[in-house]
Amino acid sequence: MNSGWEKYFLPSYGAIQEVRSPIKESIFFGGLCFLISLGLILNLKQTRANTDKLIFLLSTQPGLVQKIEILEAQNSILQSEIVSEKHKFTKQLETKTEKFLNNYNSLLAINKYKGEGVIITLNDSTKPLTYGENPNLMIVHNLDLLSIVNELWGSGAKAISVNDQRITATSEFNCIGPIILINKSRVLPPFTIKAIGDPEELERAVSNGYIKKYDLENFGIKFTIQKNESIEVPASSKTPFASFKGNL
Amino acid sequence: MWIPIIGLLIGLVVGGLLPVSIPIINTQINTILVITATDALFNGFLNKLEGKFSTMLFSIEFLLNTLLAIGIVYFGIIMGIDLFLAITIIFGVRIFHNLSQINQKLFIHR
Repeated sequence: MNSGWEKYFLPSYGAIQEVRSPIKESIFFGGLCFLISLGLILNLKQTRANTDKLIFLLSTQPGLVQKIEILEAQNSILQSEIVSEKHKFTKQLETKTEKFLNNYNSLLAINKYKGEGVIITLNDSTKPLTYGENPNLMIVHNLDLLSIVNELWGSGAKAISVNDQRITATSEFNCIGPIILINKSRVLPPFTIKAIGDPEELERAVSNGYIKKYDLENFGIKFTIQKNESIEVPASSKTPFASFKGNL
Repeated sequence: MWIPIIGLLIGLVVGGLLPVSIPIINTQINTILVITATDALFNGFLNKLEGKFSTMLFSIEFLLNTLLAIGIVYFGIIMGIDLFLAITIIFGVRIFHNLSQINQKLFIHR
């Protein structure tokens, strides 16, 4: 049991009688000292090399710092350019969309509409009635107005008004006796119909349409068509649909 | 008594003259070697004072300590854990414990 290397793993190694040799012991301690000093010196050299590297990097740093400063300045300039370009672009987009919106608002009778077109005037007859004549033929009816307006729509009118009442998709021509109701407001003769569109097209349509002006003139109803360079059709007093402003 | 001093001087001279700067061996592993050697030195001196010193036993102990410590530190480097500190603390505690024992042996019991 006590032979070979196993003796070194016995619990009470102090009891083992090993041959004492002071040279071996001092060689052990000397080796340890050698290792310690070697390791320390190597570590010292390593750290000194590291500090040398650091000093070298620090000596080359000022140029780098300047480069970084220049690049940062350029970067800030470019960023401000980006911001201004974005601002410009959004402004352009806003103006474009506002134009678009205004165009459609004026088509939808939310805004007034300006342009070239025709002005049609209608008035009741002043001819004295003879016996047997129907007085209904001598006045302007709601259906006459409706027919004229439909002719105008059919020939490409963009905006129509009757006595400053804008005709929209929900406008009505109601006969309530001696007066006509348009947009729930009373309209009296003389009627002036303003229509914006191609003037010649509109005039041809009204002159040769379903209701011919000559037919009306036969009964003494005063009927004129006038081409005009600039007509202003007012906005509708009511909002036909929900307003699109601010919701786009 | 003079062999350790000569070993110390040889180590200083060899370390100074070696053209090796050690990026290959990690600085931490080198430091671990130094710390385990210091621990073995103190432990051996204490046991020599107590009369229980055995060259073979303490050499093997030193080798095993060093191998295990370097292995653990290498593992820590691989895994990204700073196990170097744990090893340093353990051996530092041992060194100071042995130092206090040596102090007692040298100045109180005699």
